[in-house]
Amino acid sequence: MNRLPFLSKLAVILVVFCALLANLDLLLDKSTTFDPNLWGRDRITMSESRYERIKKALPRHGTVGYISNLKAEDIRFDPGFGEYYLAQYALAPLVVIYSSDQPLVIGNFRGSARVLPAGAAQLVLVKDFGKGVILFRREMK
Amino acid sequence: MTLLFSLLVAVGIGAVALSLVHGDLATIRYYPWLCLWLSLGFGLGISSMSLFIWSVLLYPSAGYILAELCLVVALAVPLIYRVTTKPLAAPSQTPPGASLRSGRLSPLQIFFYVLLISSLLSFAFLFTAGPHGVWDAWAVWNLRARFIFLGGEHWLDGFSGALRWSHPDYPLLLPALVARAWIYTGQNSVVAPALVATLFTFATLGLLVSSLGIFRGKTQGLIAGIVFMGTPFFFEHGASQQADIPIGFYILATLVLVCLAEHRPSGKNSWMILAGAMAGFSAWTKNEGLLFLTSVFAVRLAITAVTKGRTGGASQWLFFPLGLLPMLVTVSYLKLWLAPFEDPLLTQGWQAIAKLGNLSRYLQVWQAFQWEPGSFRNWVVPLALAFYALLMGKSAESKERQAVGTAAGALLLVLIGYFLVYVVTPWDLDWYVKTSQARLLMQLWPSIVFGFFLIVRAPDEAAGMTRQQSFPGFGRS
Repeated sequence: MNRLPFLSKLAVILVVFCALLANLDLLLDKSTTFDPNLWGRDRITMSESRYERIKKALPRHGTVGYISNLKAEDIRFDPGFGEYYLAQYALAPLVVIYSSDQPLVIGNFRGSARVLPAGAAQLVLVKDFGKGVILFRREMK
Repeated sequence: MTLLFSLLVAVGIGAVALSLVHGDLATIRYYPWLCLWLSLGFGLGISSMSLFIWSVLLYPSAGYILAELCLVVALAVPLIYRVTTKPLAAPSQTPPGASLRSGRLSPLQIFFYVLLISSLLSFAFLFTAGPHGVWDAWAVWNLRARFIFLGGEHWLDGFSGALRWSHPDYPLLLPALVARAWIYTGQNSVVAPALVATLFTFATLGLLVSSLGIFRGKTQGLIAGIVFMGTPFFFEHGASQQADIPIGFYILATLVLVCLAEHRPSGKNSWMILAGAMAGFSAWTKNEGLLFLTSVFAVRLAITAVTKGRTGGASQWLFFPLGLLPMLVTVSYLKLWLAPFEDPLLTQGWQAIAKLGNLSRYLQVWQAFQWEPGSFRNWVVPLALAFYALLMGKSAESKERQAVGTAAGALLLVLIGYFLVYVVTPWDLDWYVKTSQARLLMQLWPSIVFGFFLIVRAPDEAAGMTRQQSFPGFGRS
């Protein structure tokens, strides 16, 4: 580096200094927002713990239905669909279908409301697992 | 420990396979760091594909571990035979790694290691804040991994049409690697996908630094590494456990190997087989890999046609498809039989043609492309890079000129491809661009940095030093 022309040396110093600032900025940002008490309290882990009990009452494979009192009007970023995807992730390798037209149906209810969506009149409550997670059985006529 | 063992097995498979394909073991010994990162990527790719083939033939199970260990032994036997019957010639010069191991650390090396530690710490913080990764990580990649690991004989349920929202037709490199790690450990912990993400993130850095060290000298390699670590978005994205960083690794590995084929003509055909394999693994990682491998091949054919094969580079390109073939067959099987390709982008028919004629869509995407650099989180480094290029000037090194042309042309074609995909997308254009563009550019970022530092004059060159002076042994050919 000693024999480097001044401009080349300047270029190296500039680029290294900028990279250093950007990298340390990230470290500072992430270390100051770090809270060890939040470990295991992220949205996905919390969702998995909600479905932990119902998993034991479900078959290991196959398909189950899913209903919810949360609205599902948009893809991906709607809270309703987000909850459905979380349920699928928690219950895999079961295939969860957003429909009440299955022999077993999982109900995911947030808040105090337990109003069944339209078309779910044939559902019979099997067990309430708490935390808004309910298992229904579809009555065959 | 089991997780680390699974990693060692993958690296072992990669190292042995690389040695068998390349043949020139002395070269591998001269470039240990480069070969380590290439072996890692090669091994992880082979392991991922092997698990998929095993699962199709039987089903995912712990028996796969034994099969994989048998694969290592089966690959190692011919290698051991070759080494014992044909001993390696002793290097006539100091091996390239020597300068890295001896003496005091230079200020650049100190900066490099400080940034490396800082990046690792940031990565750890990011992981603890979101151990399951971001949306696509768990809703697409890790969900598929769960079906492979937990599904047993019913693992194909994960490709059910009922899960269309989670893109069952997406390639399986990442899910299969995560499932493989879970098979080794026997449980689906959050550590396995995080470890896979960490490996690809830091292997990309290692590959960048070690390859530029060979092509343009150690100083240039270190500066490239420092610049790369000055892109916080890369580490944030790496920790998010999506497939964009792994595909970025395979894109970079392909271009490095293409350059290596030109840099060391003695083993060019085998480097090209490996380049084909890495391009194939990019297609086994994400759909964008298909666009990339087509772009590399098309650009190279064009260059060969323009130069009329004067430099004799045409024949080696016959070996590229050879390396590509196994992955292409596997991807085709997945997309044509197992999870039929139903991407609305391709099935929209004439609507796409109509969108191609809509100028306002081009303008909207173009504006987003101009805006996007800001979302790389910190754009001060690319600005500094512009000054760096201005002050340093263009490198006079011409050894890998065609390879650099191939890399630049392929990246440009991929960018054009991304641009056109946005124009014809069936999704809401504004939403689609905002949620995907930064990570698409991040796939190319390692290769862009690589190309930049190949083209711009290295400090050693500016100081009038040869690479032999900077690195004893690096200049061997």
